[in-house]
This record gives sequence, C-alpha cells and structure tokens, in this order.
Amino acid sequence: MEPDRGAFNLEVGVFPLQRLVFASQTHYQNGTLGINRAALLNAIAEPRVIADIEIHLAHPGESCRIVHVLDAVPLMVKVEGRSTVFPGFFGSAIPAGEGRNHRIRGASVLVCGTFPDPTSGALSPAEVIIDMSGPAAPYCAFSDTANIVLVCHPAPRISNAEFDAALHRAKLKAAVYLARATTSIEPPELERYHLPAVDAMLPRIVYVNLLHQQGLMAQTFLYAMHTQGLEPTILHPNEMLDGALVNGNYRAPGRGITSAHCDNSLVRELYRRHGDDLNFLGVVVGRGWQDTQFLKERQGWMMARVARLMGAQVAIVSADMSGTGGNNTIDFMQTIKACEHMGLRTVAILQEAGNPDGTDPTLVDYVPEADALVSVGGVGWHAPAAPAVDRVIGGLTVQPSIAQDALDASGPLQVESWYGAIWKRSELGLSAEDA
Amino acid sequence: MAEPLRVLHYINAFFGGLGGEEEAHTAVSLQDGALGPGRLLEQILADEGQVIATIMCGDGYFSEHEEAVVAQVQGYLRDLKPDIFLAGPAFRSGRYGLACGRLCLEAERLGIPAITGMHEENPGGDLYRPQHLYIIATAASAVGMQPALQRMAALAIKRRRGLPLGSAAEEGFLPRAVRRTVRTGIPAAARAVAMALKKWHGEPYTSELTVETFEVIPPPPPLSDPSKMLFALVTESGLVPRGNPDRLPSATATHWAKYSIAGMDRLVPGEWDGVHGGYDNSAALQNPNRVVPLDAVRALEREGMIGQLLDELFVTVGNLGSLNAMKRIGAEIANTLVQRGVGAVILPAT
Repeated sequence: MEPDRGAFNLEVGVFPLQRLVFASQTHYQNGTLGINRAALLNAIAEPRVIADIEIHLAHPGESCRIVHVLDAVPLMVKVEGRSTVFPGFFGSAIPAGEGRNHRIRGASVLVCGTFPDPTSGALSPAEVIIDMSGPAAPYCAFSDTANIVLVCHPAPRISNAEFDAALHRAKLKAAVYLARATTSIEPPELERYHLPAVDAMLPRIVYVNLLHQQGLMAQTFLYAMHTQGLEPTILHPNEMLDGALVNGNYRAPGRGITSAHCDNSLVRELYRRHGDDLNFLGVVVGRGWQDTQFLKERQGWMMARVARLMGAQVAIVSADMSGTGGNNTIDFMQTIKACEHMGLRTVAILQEAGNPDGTDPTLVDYVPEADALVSVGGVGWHAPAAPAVDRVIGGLTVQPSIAQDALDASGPLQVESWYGAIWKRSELGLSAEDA
Repeated sequence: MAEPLRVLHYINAFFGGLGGEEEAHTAVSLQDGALGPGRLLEQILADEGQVIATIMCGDGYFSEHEEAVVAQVQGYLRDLKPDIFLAGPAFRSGRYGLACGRLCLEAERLGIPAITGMHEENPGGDLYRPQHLYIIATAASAVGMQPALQRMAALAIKRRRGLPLGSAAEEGFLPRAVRRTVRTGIPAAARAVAMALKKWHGEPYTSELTVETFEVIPPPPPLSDPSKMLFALVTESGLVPRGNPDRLPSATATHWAKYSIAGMDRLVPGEWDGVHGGYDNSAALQNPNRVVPLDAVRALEREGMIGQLLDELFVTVGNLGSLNAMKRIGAEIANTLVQRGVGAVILPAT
C-alpha cells in the first residue's frame, strides 16, 4: 500500500545531555556535546543586523545568573520527513509533525539581548532572569538544563523589528545546528507520536490554546507568521512538538517560551492518556489578548466553534500553559463560556494575580461557567530571594521594575517572578487554596 | 497543658432563651459565664478553655442600633481582654449573621482571634467573608449546633495558640478571599485532565479556584449643571511627564501621582511618557491627548459646557493592579478631589 504522505506520524530520537563543552569540532558522545564555537557562530552569523554574538555555557548548579533572556529553544533537527523543524523559518511552511526528529534532551539554546531603540508600554521586553543554582533556581525555567546562551548585540542603525527577526533566526538556527551533531548516530531512545483511532466511547478532548499576540515583542509565531489576524485553527499536537509555534513575546517574565510550546505539558499529558481514558482530537489555537470586548467575545465563540466542529466533547483551556495575563483574562473567560455554551465540558488552567499574601481578589474577570479551574497559584507568590552569584551572563545590570533603579546583576536579588515562572509552577504542581 | 483560654461568646436573644417581641428588641447585655449554646461550647472546650462571659443582644435591636452596640461590645472586649471571641453560630439567620460578622470584625481589629459560624447562604457571610473573616460553614438550622461549635472551637484554639491552619475545606470555614500557595505534587496538566474527565463523567470534582463575585458599581446619576462644576482628569493610563519623576511602575501600582496641567491647552507630544505596561502606547506617545483628552476638555471649558478644569492631572497605572490597592488609590485620589472642591471627574480608561 502507498504510504500516507499526509499523515502526522512523528518519531523523536532522544539524546540525553549532561555536559556542554567548547571543542574543536561539534560532536555528541555519551551525553556530552562538544561545540565548535567558530562553526556555531558561522551557522548563525548575521553581521548586518547582529554586530556581535557572545556564546556562553551554563550548567545546573553553577553559581551563575543569566539576564535579559528573550527566549529558549530545544535542540532539535528533522532527519527525515516532509518539513523542517520550526516550519516556515527554514523555507516553505510545509505541514510539520511528521517523519523523524533528533532531539538533544537536557539542553537549551537561550537568546539574550537588549533592543537598540527605547521601548515602553506593552510592546516592551520585561527583565527576565534565570539563576542556575540557589533558592530561586527551582522557580526558574532552564535552571535544570545545560544552556548554550547567545548574547546578541545589535549593529548600528538597526531597528527593533530587524533585530528581533534576526534573533529568531539565530536561536532557531543554533538549535538545529547543534542537534545536527546527532544526525548520524542511532538514538538511544525513540519516542513515537501519533494519534491512532481509539474506542469510540472515550470522551473526545481538545486543548484550546490562546496565544499571546499584541505586536512586536509581544507575539507568537505560527508557521513563522505572527498571529495578529489569526482566526482559530487546528494543530495536530505533533506540529507543536515540531516547533510550529515559536515565541516572540518578551512581556512579563512568566510568559510563553518556544521550549514550552514544543514541550507543552498538556499536549504530553493528553498524548499519554490517548486511548486509555480519552480521545485526544488535537489543539485549537487562536489569538488571545484581543483588542476590544467585541473581539474578545467573538474570539471565544470562534474558538469554541472550531472545537465543536472538530467533534470535541471536552475542552481544556490554557494560554500557552504560561499565563492568562491581565486583559487576556477576559478573552480566557469568554472562551470558557463559549465552550460550555457550545456543549463542551470545559476545564481551564490559569494563574492568579494579586498580592503575595493572597488577600487580593485574584482574577480581574470571571464567568459563572468557569466552574472547573486548575490554578498554578499567583505569579508573584513564592518567588524566593536569591543571593549574589559568581558569574553573570547577558549584562552587567538588571532592572526588574522601571519603578526602581537598575541593580548590579551579580548582587542579591528579590524579583517578583523568575523566567518561565508560570510554566515552572505548573510543572512543579504548585496551586493555591482558600486559606 | 497550656492555660485554659478565656472565651467571650456572643449570642442573640433567641439563643439566650428569650422569645417573641422580647427576643428582637432586647438591648445588648453582658453576663458572666456561659449561656444557651455557650454551655455546649464549654463542654466542647473541656480543659482547653472557659466561657468567661456571654454578650447577648436581640437581632432587631442590633440592626437598629448597630454602632451603639458595637461601641458597647468594644468596651467589653477591652475590659475583659478575652483570648478568643466566638459569635453564634448564626446558621441561616440573616440578621444574626450580620451581627456576628460585624462583632467578629471588631474583635479582630483589636487583635482578638474571632470566629463565627454561618450557613453558606447567610448574607452575613457575603458581607464579611471578603473582609477575610473566619466563618465556619454550618447547617441551615440549629440541628447543626454541635459540629458547628466543635469546628469553631477547634479553629479558635489553633489560631490563638499559633498552630498551622489547614485549608478552608480542611478547617471547615467558608472561603474568605485569602489564597495560599500549596504544592500538590502533581503537574497542572495532569490535574486538569483528571478534572476534565471527572466533569465529563458527571463525577464530583473540586475547582481549585471558586470565582468570587465582584462588587457592582452603579453609574453615578447625571450631573445637574456641568457648566457650574469644577472638573478633574484622573487616569490609570500611566501617562506621566517624561522621565517618570514619581517612578510609577509598569504594572501592579501601589501609588499615584499628580501633575500640574495649569495653563496647558493640550498635552505636548515628547513631554509625556506612557509607563503603563499593558497597552501599545505608541499612539499615546504621538499624541498624549488621545489618552488624556486635555485638548477636548479645554475646548468644553472654553465653550462653557463645563465650569472649570482642575489644574492637576491625577495618574496611576491600572495594569495588573491589585483590586485592594486600586480601591485605596481611588479613595485617596477622591479625597483629594473632594478637598479641592471637584464635582465631576473624567476618567479616561486604557
């Protein structure tokens, strides 16, 4: 029989990683990745836009702090299949989620930088910090992976938009370049991802995912295109594993991350239970953070409509597994409401706001239909203070709040939230209760 | 064994054994020792505590003389210095619940741990739960007296002795608008899928966050004569003079600032910055009047549509603002406006 060329069957060869070293050639062996710094630089260089790229390595447990972090990307490459990983960023936007990937697990590419032109308001990067050890480390995403950190400096007279576009190319190329060290090696582990037909009696579940999109520096890419005008659409979960969603959002430190899209824990959980006690139909993605009440309500209905037309009976709603945000709480609640009204039993994962002692109302909006909520707690709650560190990557000072002066980046720090705080909290199983 | 705790108990006249008209209109009184349900309370407390005195008041009397009763009870609390204050339980009785809630709040303000008990539909709960009062959930009527008093006593003892408290569900109190971080040990994704399957199968599940209803703020009545009123511009848009002299943050503001707009016909681009982190402020920077419409208000002033505009602009940042902080900021700004004789406010939102 002819193979089904349109299927979404993905194999991921997994290469565990414990150690990164600079070496004369880029080479993976037994959990160690040697990196030829010059070859990596050559693979990602864009001297017209990025004047200089520093490359640093940071391992879990080091007295090391990484600042001005913009995004994190898993090390992966397509070794066989119709598309590339991060589809659309490397040529045509061919449907991904098929073929075979190699993935170096336990490592991340981090990109750090400061934009050339001043920014303020929503379209402005927030200060983002990772401590690789100490009391804050458990609450920092990527404190538990070995990190290749690209610190990028813009060329003169380059706009923020040009610099941003180059940063996306650089981080994704670096991730692919490094994973290529495994292409000729048989993977020690092979994971298979596909969604076979299952018992028709199992409840049909969709993941309804609101993406952060407001403009430059506050956006999410779908197949390399920002999601500003996106009408809700469907993704096979394998497309997410393949990097169909790439983060370009630099707002609050708790925000979305490319690695979190690729490793979305809800996708993994639904995959794990597919055929056992549920039927995972796929992911509905659409833009959150709509601009008006009319558009927020419309978006809710459009998301629910797509979910229903997919045949879903149950919906789990989250915003990137990262954060429902402030104004997006309205989009979020409208989506829950619409899903319930379209006949879907709906559960939603959200974060709470308010002061650290928990005495503030923690949501800015609600609907009575939101009667099954999973909380990851408050984003600013339980964020331990950090002592001084020996080494800082990414800058000399940090400014966690514009209401304060910049601080010495290596000194003791107390910040409201560390990098990937909401994602990390959801993975750690933090919640909140009435007390 | 720790010293027995000295308990002051509040009950209404009905539970004090009075009936009819007498019940409702009995004035507040204090008597030594336990009375009515207080006797059962003492049995429950056993060696842990003793009801030193009982305050009794008719529910009707309380509602008609609330402030006077409160003043008197404050006096009892100051004189007797009880270790804990228990009120009720009020079950579903609304007026009793309102009295218990108010008096517990007063005791808490004096630093005395206070606990009451109510059915979840008691209006006293709606009023006092958001003020973080501990209210044990009870049955609708006095058939639930024993378990209610047991939980009230247990919680009061724990609080007084500084022992760690469980969740609202574990201790048996109604959610009181206080949230605490906990470790479930299970990732959010796994909890969500488990909850979704329970919801689908019609099995009981517990939402991790019960949505609280918000206070409804009715629109104010129309102005009688705007042409004779002093107006003010107040904004949460974070529009500040360039350089952000008062260091307003981009989110979760806890303070506000005011800036002179005396003699300005409009806000001049380049002189203002938008520090609010929740909206794309590029249009605001190009023309700050589109966020704070000084130009349009000045035109109304010239045309005589409005009396006069106050010379100061009041600014905070609404982005991710805590409701409590925003209430305080709003009240502080409003007090200032009242002192300046302002009669109407234009509040452009972002």
